[in-house]
Amino acid sequence: MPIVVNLDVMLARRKMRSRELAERIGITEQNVSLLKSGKVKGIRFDTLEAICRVLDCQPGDILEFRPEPGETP
Amino acid sequence: MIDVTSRPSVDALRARIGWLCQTLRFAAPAYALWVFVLLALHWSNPTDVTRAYSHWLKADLVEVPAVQRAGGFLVHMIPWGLTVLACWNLWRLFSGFLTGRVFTLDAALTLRRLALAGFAAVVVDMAARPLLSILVSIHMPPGGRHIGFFFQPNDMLNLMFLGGLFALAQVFKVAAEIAEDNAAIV
Repeated sequence: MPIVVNLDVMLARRKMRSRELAERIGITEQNVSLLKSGKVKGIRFDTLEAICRVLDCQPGDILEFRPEPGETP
Repeated sequence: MIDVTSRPSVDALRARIGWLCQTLRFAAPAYALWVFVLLALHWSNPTDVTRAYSHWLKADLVEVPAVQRAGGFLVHMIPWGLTVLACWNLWRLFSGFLTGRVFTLDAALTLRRLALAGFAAVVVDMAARPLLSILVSIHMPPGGRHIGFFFQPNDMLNLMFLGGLFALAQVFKVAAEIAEDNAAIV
């Protein structure tokens, strides 16, 4: 999928662990892990809002559109 | 793998229908056992068999010999076996509900198997009736032998119910797929 989740990068920049993020945004650590690995079909606006609030960032810092080779951007 | 069994809505549903699931779980083997005992008692009683089939065939049958009654019992074991299969799936379905496996593909498939086994049991039971009527009257002299076809309103009700259950299982399968998709959105 050309949507890449950069949550692990943001977590590293903020020096925050997945467990802490999970606790602060109110989802399970397992779901944070799935989100980090991009193994989810979507993200709710309220989850995205909570992540941006806790990590003090923009949605674009978390999600990135990266076209696959040969695909027109 | 996303866990769809530990959501608050599923927990609430489990709390609401838990007692019903437990009851149905234990009712399933009890029903299968009850039917078996009734069949065994019926076919082991020559007077009962002769009276019942004389009534259904509207004929004056002479006491049905033991070998024929044993045959009748064996024929009845085929729909009974399918009933056991349906009860087993009922047990599995409600055991799954109790552990929170409600809107899952596995639950939908178990419901479908339950409907199919139940439907087959009713159809085979109906198809066995002419065979049973021959079995219980074959010892009669020519002219006294019968072949009977019975179809009762209850048969139609059972078929309608089980057909509806099958359709519901298909709907349930689609719902399970949607639930799985939703569970993949965090």
